[in-house]
Amino acid sequence: MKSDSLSFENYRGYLTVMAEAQLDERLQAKVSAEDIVQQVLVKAEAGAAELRDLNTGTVMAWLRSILTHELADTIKYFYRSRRNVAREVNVGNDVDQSAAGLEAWLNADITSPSQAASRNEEMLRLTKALLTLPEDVRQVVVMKHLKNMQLREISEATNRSVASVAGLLRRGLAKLRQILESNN
Amino acid sequence: MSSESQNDPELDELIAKWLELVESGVNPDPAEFIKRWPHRAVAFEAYLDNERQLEALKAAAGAESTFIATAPKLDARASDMIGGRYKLLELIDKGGMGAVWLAEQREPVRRKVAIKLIKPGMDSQEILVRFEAERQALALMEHENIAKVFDGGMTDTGRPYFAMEYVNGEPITDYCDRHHLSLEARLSLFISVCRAVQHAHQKGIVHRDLKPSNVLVCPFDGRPVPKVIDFGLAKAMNQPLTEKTLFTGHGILVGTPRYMSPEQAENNNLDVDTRTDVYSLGVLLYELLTGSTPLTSEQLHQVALHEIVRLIKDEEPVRPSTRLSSSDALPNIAAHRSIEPGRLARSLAGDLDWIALKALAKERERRYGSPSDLAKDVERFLANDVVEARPPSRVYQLRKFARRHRGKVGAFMAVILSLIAGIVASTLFAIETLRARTAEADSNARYVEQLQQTSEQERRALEKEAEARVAKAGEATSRFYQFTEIAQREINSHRAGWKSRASAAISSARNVAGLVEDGDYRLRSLIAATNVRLDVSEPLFKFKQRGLKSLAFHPSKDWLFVATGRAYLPDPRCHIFVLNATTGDVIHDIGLMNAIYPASNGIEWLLISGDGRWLFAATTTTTESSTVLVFDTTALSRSTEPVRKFEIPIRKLMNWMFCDSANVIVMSGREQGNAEVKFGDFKMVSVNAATGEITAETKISAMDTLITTIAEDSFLICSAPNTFETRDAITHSVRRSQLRPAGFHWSAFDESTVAIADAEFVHLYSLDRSSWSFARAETPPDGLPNENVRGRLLFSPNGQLLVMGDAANKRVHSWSGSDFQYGIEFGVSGSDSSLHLEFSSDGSLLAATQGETASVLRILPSRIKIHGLSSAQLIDGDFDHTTGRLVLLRPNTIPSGTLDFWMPSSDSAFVSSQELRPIPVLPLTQGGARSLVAQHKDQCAVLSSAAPDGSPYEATVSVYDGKHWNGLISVSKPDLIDFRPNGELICVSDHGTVLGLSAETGEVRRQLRRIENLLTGGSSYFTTTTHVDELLILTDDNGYCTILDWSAVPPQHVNTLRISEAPIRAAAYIPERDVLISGDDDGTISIIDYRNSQVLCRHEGAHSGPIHAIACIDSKLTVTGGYDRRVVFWEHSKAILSPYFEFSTATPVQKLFAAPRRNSVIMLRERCVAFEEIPVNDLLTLDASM
Repeated sequence: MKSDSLSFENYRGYLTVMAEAQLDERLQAKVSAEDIVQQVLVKAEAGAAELRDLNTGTVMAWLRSILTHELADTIKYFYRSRRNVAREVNVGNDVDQSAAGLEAWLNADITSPSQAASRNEEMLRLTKALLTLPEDVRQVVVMKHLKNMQLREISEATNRSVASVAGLLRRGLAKLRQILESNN
Repeated sequence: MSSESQNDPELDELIAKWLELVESGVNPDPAEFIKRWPHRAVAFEAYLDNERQLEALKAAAGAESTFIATAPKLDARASDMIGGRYKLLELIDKGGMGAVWLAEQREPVRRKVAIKLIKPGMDSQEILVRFEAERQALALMEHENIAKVFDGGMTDTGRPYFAMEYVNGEPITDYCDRHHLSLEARLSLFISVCRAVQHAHQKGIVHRDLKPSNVLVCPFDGRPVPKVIDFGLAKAMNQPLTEKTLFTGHGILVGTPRYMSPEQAENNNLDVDTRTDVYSLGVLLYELLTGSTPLTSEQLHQVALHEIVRLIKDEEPVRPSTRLSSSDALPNIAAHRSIEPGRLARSLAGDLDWIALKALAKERERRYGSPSDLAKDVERFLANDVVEARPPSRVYQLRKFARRHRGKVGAFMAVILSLIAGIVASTLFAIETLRARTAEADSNARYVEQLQQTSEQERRALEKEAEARVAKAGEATSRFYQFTEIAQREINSHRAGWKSRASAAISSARNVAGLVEDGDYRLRSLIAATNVRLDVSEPLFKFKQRGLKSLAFHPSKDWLFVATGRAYLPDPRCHIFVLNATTGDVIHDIGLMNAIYPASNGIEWLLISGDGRWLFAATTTTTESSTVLVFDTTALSRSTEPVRKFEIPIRKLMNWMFCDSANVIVMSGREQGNAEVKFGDFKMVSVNAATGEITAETKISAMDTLITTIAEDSFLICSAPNTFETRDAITHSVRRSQLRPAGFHWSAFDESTVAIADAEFVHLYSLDRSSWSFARAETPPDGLPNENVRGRLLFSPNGQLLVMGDAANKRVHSWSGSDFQYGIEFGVSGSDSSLHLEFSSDGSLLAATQGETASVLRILPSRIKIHGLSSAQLIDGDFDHTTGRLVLLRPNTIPSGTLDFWMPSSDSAFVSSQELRPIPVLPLTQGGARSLVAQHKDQCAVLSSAAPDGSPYEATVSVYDGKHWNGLISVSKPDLIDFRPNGELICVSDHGTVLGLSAETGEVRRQLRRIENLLTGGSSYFTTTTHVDELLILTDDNGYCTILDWSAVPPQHVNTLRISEAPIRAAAYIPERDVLISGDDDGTISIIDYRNSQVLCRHEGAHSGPIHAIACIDSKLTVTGGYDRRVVFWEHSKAILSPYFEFSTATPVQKLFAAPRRNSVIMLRERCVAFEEIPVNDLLTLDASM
């Protein structure tokens, strides 16, 4: 039914990085992106029969929609389980915000299929390489380069000094390049 | 282990420093870093290189769009750009609604502003629509105690924002306490606040959210100046009172309910008028006096929502003096007011108590009629006069009591009344006796007393009358604003039928307008706004019949042809109905037997000849060919049989059209006789409409090849993949071939404008000789319909409207043809996957068929007449009053340009075009209104670039006399050209060298060198010229106006006058008053008595941005237009300027010319593909029948 190149396993890196980028820092401490991605892959395998037209573009979009729902559920569940009148309204806003972000993200892919194919390949390559980085390094690389956060913000979010964030970035980027080049 | 993975804190510091510099927007030089830290150079460069690699891969992977644009961004941050204009500097405040930032604006003026960023999750579109509705009124507010709201919009992330005057102050209550202001000082601050609110009310703005944090006090010249902020925002936000709005992030009550009027709490802000603000001012006064609000936050804390509403509605406030005496904090409160505790409570008791309670009355009618009434009463208190406010009367208290205990009161009423009657009678008797005795005692005293009594009575009567008047005016004001708000909402809506609803509301408002200050102005502006936009009527009729498909309007008769796609049993025929196009009555019913005509699919296409005589009906067959039936429409009453019938070798007809002068039908479709569907088996065929003879047959390439439009004897085909071809209708020979933009569904208005839709946008292209230039891309607010259900794009014949059907949602999207702004959206009824639309030949009716319903809508046109759709952008234009000719200068293929000549008064309007080639056009400076083209009789002068690359520094003056181009003279640093009334050509260049040229020979007759030297300093660019008798008056971008005597030899400098701090870009002469009127970049209009060097009047804030154009219509009326997209008409006397009415346009106004003979104004706008004629009088007529 599906060739190896379209095996869902190939998308693990992509989904993990995506999930990490979407979960805010507070949640990342509580919820493991890897668990969510595992759920997504299980659901994807179960529903694979529904997927008729297989190419990287459709698979990616489909996986992403599963991930979106999974993330939205997780975020809601997490906040609901910590019900607190005073805090509820506060975190409720954040849930709305995250959900709005997710929705935008789900609809973000607007490129034509032909254009997207090569992009998707590059995206898989990039995210796969990111996945091999140690978690703390990956976190700052994703924050800096995929979420476009500023050094100061990363330092606040991760409780590190700006210099140590820069150090992680420096090492992460070097490692990333090494991996990408060795894969070629 | 490579060096890169080693610990190196110094390198990390270095990189951190680098990154922070980059992030702060500085562009640091890597070389500089390397030079300073040479021993880290290699590692640092390696880092930069790695970063570049990652960025490259990111770009290739499209990570920017998938991650960054959508990653949850919690907050804005410093140095973010908002709305492309405001740079955030510093977070000032964070509140329930969002955050307030100090920001810097660069365009069009440089200033500090406060930006209010509304938090996400609210309906941004709604908020902005409501804000737009208020915008005109907001722009009119001009008061030293009001912070202006400049702008509103949406950030890239979809959050609404508002830009307003930055006020560096603190809430009034905090300020008063911190500075220990005395009661008197507090009250006088409060009076200023009331006056500010009163001013806003006169401009039609109700604040709705007055509270200390919206009344900021900042010291100015050593005295405290209160400023009311956030005018107009509460209305835009239109927050209903709900659990959600009551609580901030910390679960604490926000201030709002404490300042909320009973009607706001009850009606969710719907029925709110100026007296709501009076209530909130009452709360503010109460707090200034007592240090707490009538309903304290403790009272409201942790109470259910309905209980809060009840408290606000019913809980009578405690008198301020009582509140104070019972307060534990009294010593503290008194200390804040620099007064002894006891004296403070005493000074409140009585008058101040009553003033506060009157403002806080639960029923609006019992409050002060206006903030200024409240202010006056406070002033009376300060002056030790008798205040208007009185303790609540017994009767009132009884009534309140009765309302609360409805059942019980009735039973006791009779008893109480009889008691009262007895008391009154005895009291009257006692008084009478007393009075008699007094009279006897001292007649003099009686006389005095009488006088006093009379005057007292008179005073009371007058007061009563005034009170009644105020109440009446208050009521009228409230009703007026209710109606005008409805009208404004409708005008801003995109819903079909808004015009009649808006007109009805305006008519109602008109009945009470006389009693409302500025009511006439607001009314006139609403009427004008109603007249400048298009609308469609409700369906004139709905015609029901199964399987309706194609339709055609008769070109001259009031007929609509609709045909059924197939026959439905038991009736074995398919039909063509001839309907009355406005009533839907069936005039003829042409039944066609399937058996007779091999038309198993029924009538698929209808077409009518240009003269309306012949109706062609095409049937698509499943076999080999299509059949065309020809009907004589003039003979339908005698016979509904076709007069002719011919076969066309096309199996599946895709499109067809009739070429009038060639008497030929051109059709395209899938080829005949090929059972297998092959890609590319398409052709087009021309058939002589009279004989059925095939004149030409041409294979065409692929599916996306479609015929679209006809120019009399030729047609335009869109040839795959990327050309447009104009072909001869009879022979198919190619007359012209042009590259075309890509896209799917498209339509042409004439040969030079094309609209194309792709998945997301409708793109408008205009044709300039051989290339298509992109003009605009637009999308409906909620996106384009899916391509499967989308109908084709269709321009109305006059180009006013562009429509697209959405079969799935049974509605039609429309755009205004002149500027391509999204117009109206209307529903059609029916059920089918396809929706067919057709315009009547005059463009006044639009017919739609979908499934079993055909309906016809009337298009209610704008009163602004649109001319031409020839070019996407204009550089400049000039209108000659004497000849009535308009010339427009537009870029052709850059850097060249074209002159288009128009006669707006004639029906066809367009006269001719003249290419400017090889002269490159000069770019018009951003928003600038200098003159690059000028006309006098037959001559048209152009100031164009002398350099082949279009450099703006060297220019040539050329004159086109209708036949030849004549290059006259070269100048450097060109400013503008203009003709004097006697035909002498004036050219200003090089910071004020003024030349007078012969337009025929280019001979320099007069000149004045560098008048800039006469000014106080700096170089000026001159922006306008005005000719008054022998005088030549110039304005410039330093705000000066320079007057030259042009008759003297050599010309003499007469005077230079400073009019403004800001650049002047528009000026006009009012001959009847012998004054100049000018507009500057700050939006200020000035009237200048240039003879006596006097600025007679300055109207600041006339526009909320640069004024680009002024035209004097007649002795009483002048019109201005500006960057703020408003066109304002002003009534003027010699020294007074008052707004008469205004309307807004979709894009900034570029130029305005008065066309006095037609009592109209010609308008050029930015990004508009047409010029428009505004019929001044017609804009003010309200046609109630609409």
